[in-house]
Parts: sequence; C-alpha cells; structure tokens
Amino acid sequence: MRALFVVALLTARLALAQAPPATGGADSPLFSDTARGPSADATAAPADPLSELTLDLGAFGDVNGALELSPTTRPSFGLGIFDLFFTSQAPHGFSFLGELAIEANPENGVELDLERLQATWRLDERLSISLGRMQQSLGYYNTAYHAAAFLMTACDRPLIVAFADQGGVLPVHMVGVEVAGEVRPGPLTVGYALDLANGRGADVEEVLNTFDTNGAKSANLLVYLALESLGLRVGGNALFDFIPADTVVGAERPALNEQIFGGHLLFERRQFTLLGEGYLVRQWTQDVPQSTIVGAFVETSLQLGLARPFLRGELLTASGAQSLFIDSIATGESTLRGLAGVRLDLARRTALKLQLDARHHTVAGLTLSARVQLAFAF
Amino acid sequence: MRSPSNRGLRLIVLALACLAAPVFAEDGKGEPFVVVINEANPAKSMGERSIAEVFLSRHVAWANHEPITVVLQENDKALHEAFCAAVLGLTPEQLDARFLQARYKGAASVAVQRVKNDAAARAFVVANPGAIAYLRPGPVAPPLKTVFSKEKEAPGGGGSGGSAR
Repeated sequence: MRALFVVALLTARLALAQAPPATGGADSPLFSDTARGPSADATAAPADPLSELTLDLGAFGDVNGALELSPTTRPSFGLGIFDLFFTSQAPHGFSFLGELAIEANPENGVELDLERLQATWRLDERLSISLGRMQQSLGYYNTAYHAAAFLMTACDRPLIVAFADQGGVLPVHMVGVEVAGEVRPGPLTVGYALDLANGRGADVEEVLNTFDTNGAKSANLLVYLALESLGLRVGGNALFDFIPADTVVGAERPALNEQIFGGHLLFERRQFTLLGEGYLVRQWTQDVPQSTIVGAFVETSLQLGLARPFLRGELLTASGAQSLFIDSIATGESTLRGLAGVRLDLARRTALKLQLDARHHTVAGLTLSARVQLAFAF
Repeated sequence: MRSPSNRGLRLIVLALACLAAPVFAEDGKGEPFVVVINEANPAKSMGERSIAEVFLSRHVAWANHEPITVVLQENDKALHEAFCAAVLGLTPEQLDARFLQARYKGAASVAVQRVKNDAAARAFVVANPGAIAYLRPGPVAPPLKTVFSKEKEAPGGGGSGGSAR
C-alpha cells in the first residue's frame, strides 16, 4: 500500500513536470516553478543553508463589546482571538507554518491553542502536499477566514462552521496529510484538496494530535470550479469518518459512522460579495439510528467606500435520532439566525464592525443582541 | 393609499437595483497605465491574464528563476483602483485581503513592495530585476521596459482596452 502511494506520487510529479508550464500568452514561458535562492546567485558568497530560509510573522486580533437584550445577561466587553502565525519559505519548494491562538474562554480565562503546525512541499500551483495539523478543507469559509476576525466581514463565524468549543458540529481541524492544488484549463480553475487524517476523537472537541484512537482514517475530498472572469466559484466536499467509541464511565457510546456532505458558492465581483454554504452531517451505526444535522448560511455584502454593509441568514437544524456525539443541538431543535451590520475599514488593516443579531431557537425562543468589534491585522 | 408591505417591497427592489449597478458595471474604466519590468527580465510582453497571475501570486518566479516582487502604488488611489479593476477585477481592499489570506494560508507568494509614487516605483524596478510595477503613462527608457499598456477610455465608454507591447 505504502509502495503504491509512493509510486503514485512519483508518477504525478513526472506527469506534472512534463506538462507545459504557464506561458501567459507569450512566445516563451514567462514563469518558473521555483525562485532562485540567495546561494544560487553566482556572485553570492558561499552558500549558508540558513540564509535561504525566511521567517514571516503575522497576527490577527479582535476586541469586542456585546449587548444582549435579555434581563439575565449584562452588557460586556470581551476579547476575541489573538492569532499568531509564523510562515517560512525554504528551498526546493518546502514551506512551514505554525499558528497559535490565544483565546478568551467562557470561564473568563485565557487559553492557548495550537491551531496549525504544518510542513508543505509544493511542486507548483497544481500540486502541494502538506503534513501536520491543519484546517480541514471544508467549503470556503473555514480555510479562507478561520480564526482571523479581520478577514471576516461579520463579527463571528456562522453557526455551522463554528469551532467545536463554541458548539460547532464540523471537524474544522485535522491532523494528517493534505494533497491540494489548482489547474487552469482555459478560463476555468479546477481546485481540489484531499485530506487524510486521524479523524474525530471520542469527544466532539477532541482533535487527535498525537495518535489515532482507531485504525480508520477520515477522508475528505473538496473539489471546486472557478470562473475568475465572472468572480464565481462553486464547490462541494464529502467527508467520511469512523468516530471511536466513548468508554468514559457515564458517557459510554458506541463507535459511529460519519458522513459529511457540503456545497458552497462564492460570487465576488467588484464591490459585491455573496457567499453561501450548506452541510449535511449524518452519524449512525448498525445499532443506532441515523442522526442528521443540516446547517447553511448565506452572507452578502457590498463595499461602499470605507463601509461594507452586510447581511447574513443562517439555519441549523437536527432531525432523526438524537446524535450521540454532538450535544450542542438536540434532535427536533433548530436555530434561525439573521445578522445585519456594517464593517468600516478605519485604516489599513483596522476594521470596526457593528452587528445586530436576531436568533430564534425552537426551545429558547427569540434573542436579540448587538455587538461591536474592532478587528486588526499586523 | 400604499400599504406598508408595498412600500417595503419597493425599498427592497430599489436596494437590489443599487446593488446590481456596480456589480455589473464594466470593469477597467478609469486611469490609463503602463506595466513595466526590468530589462534583465526575459519577458518581452505580457497579457492582462499573465499580469493578473503575477499579482495574485499564481507564480512566484520569472522564467529565469528570479523571485517576483510586485510594486503597489496605493498612495495614488485613482491609479491603484484603475489597475486593480482593469487587470485583477478586484477592489484595492480585495487585493489587500488576497495578500493577507495568502500569507495566512502559508502559501507561496510574491513579495510585495509598497511605494509612494511613480518615481519610487521606477527606481525600485531599476534596482530589482524581479520587480514589476504599474505606472502612469510616460516615457519608459532602459533599464525599464513596458510589457503592457492600458489606454485611456474614450468618452462615451468605448474604451480601447489594453495592449501588450
């Protein structure tokens, strides 16, 4: 099996190496796959391997104020996520990325999360292979914005792509290997990402960082088509996993099969952006009837000078049997959420967001809240 | 007398029309510009698509393996907006977000150099063989060479578009 994998990789590399490079319409190729490093310069001093490594440090942060129109909650200030990421480009197509998120938690404390730690080898835009802890390639939102509030138009992530410790239902992180790339036949872009990972742990918040607790690996395939001249991207993904049994006394649960199917549509043309995503999450075993969770959102915004007004509608609903794994939503429950707000780009990499949030839950009823967020990047 | 629901419907239709106008407006209207590279760069001419691929980090090195550095003139708002719209189909904010996203993803990316004006852009490309910049139209002499030119829109919107030289 391992030999087959190695042969497949070598074959892919040979095939891609023999394919004609991008010419951009010129007579001769305009570009190459690799940049010359300092040591490749004939006039440079004798090569120091470390001189070819780069280190780039970036950060995102957000601070918030929230007001919920309910007698039981008080207006509050709060911290969002302070996200630090380190990237390094090394010779021969290798690159490395580390990401740490320092996050305020519901207990008024602060905790440190290793969000990503990955090494990537890139042949060119058509093929890259990454190994480590990464963002699972689900739809568009999860990998485009993830923990970076500054990149998001609204103040927070949609319910269906929320982090597991905030009631999310999707495995947004994974530890494993990803093969990804894009090819461009004519005006079309075809992108793909294949993730092979340890999969879910016994608990919905658990990411199997060190070892897998069952023999089965999760497999996720994302494919998308983009027409950049129209600003349009359409894609879908399918994830298959085998969730290990929970043996903790009092919380025993059998192992479960899991399937997640998703679709997304992005239309980004000039100042206008429309993004929609939907997911179907199914879990079952031979002895446990199927539980189904469906989640979707549509977000639209329009850049008008420094202001970007936005609207978002969301749905999260559970049906079938009660999920034995995801406890943030009970069967028969559903949440409808509507957001309206404006993002103001006050200065370069500094955005102020004002957001009104109306949420209707089948049990909790209607809640209204307002939020202000200052998000930044540096 | 109009009912509140009719008034609401009219407001929604009006809002949608306002949204649709800029979305489907023709790209590329605005300031003329030229795209220049260093004469040491083997590229002779470039189309809009090739230039877009460079500025969107689809390629990180020229054919001679020289790393690509894109030069941005964000201070000249009209020029920067015209270049972003005509070649990339993006707003300046969207281009900045793309750079930030590429960096966040850890993807291989072109180097970005922000300069104050045309003179600084010219000086940077002269000093850096892998650089590419857009300038206001004007004489371009060695060691710079023009690889693309976007001419001014004719009155009435019948623009002459871009050309590679």
